[in-house]
Amino acid sequence: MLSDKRGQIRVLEAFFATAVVFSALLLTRPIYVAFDNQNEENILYTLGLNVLVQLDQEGDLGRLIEQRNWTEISSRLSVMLPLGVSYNFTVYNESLEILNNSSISSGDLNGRNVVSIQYLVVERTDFNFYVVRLQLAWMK
Amino acid sequence: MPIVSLDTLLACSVMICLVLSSMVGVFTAVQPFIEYQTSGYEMEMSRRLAEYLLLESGSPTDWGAETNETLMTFGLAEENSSIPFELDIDKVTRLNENNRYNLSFLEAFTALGTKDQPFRIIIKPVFSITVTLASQTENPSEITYRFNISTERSNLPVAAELQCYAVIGDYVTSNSSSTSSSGEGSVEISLPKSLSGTALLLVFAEIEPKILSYAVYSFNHNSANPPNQAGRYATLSPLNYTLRADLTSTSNRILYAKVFTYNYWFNLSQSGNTSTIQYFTIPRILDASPMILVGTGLDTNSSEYFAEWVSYPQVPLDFGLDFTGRYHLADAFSFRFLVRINSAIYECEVILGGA
Repeated sequence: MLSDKRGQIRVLEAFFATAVVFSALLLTRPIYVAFDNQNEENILYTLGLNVLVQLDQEGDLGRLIEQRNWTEISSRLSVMLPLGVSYNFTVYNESLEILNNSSISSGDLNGRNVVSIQYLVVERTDFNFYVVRLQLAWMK
Repeated sequence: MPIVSLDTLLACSVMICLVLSSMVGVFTAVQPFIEYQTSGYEMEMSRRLAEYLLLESGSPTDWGAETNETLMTFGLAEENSSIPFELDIDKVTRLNENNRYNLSFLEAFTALGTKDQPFRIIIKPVFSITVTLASQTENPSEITYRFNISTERSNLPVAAELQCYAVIGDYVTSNSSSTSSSGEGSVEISLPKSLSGTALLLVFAEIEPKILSYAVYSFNHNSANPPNQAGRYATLSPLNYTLRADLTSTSNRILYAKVFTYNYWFNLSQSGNTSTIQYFTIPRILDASPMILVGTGLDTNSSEYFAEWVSYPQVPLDFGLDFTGRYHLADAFSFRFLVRINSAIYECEVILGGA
């Protein structure tokens, strides 16, 4: 009778070990998905930085922020960013207070992998500094 | 056989199955990680290489304008530029296969120095313009043409400001218009009936400052003959602010050459001349706009005007290998950038094949 119990325990051990191994395999899947998204995030970051650099050529972005011309900034971003990319643009002053009183955005960022790009802007007339944050996500 | 042995045998069998299945499982699970490490590395290297192409000026640094120098290192950025992604107008122009001084893909590939990474560079305006002739009305002295113009970006309409020029012979007339948010607009142009032959309608459109596109529409004016085909009388190749016109015959020469931008137009002065080649000097116009160079002359047989044109920088262009093969497509990485050429913004797509 004692021997029978030992055998049953071994079988149970084997099943436990199987369960542990397979649950470990299941747990590794989300990590892979996270790794996979990194490529897309890198592409979005490059894209966003390139757009900000072009938007800021010859001090245009600083001038538009100084004029509080959020509509024009939104219009230019919509033209410069490819279709299929949602964005949200926020302007901060030197004290990191939000300056844009209306939303500068297109599309919905909720529930998506969002890439955030921060960029320092200098307004060239009065030498005011601004920090802008461009959040980007692929529309899916 | 005692029952304990059967239990042990069963347990061992389960263990062996467990080990084998876990080996298979672990391999299946780990394989994407291993592939990711490779593909992630390849993608990152491709992205950096694409940026390198657009941020480095190559060597010699003036390889775009100096056609006699051998290209050592490939890069499209303007020499001594302090602005990132600002491309040299001549380096870009030499990528166009229709230019007389075009760079071959083999030269560029060799100069890039990556042994097994083919590439393709596509440069084009951010949006496109379509022109159609809607109607024409005549009066005793002139003919008025009405053109429908549509502007769109990625097949979606965009509103744009339009600046249009019509050219025939030495005659130039201009008109402004705009397209609505539906991307539709129209423009009217009148040409005198004293002239006949091929006329060109040049359309510049601007949707935001420095974001422009252009279109050229060729039509017959006051003539029964269709407009001349591009390249029938001359092939125009701009480089280093000089327009070279390779004539197809010694009798039909270019009499008038002009440069057009969004805000300005000027006559070009001839700087050189042989029996089959003419050279014209292009002024360095600071207008943030593509330039369109037009050469017109009289056909000695029909006594009607012909017209040839080329843009400077010579875009849109598609340089490099075609990645449409079924083996190529899977391993290609595509990166999209906004670049500046002569202060105007263009869209540049760099496609790099997996090594």
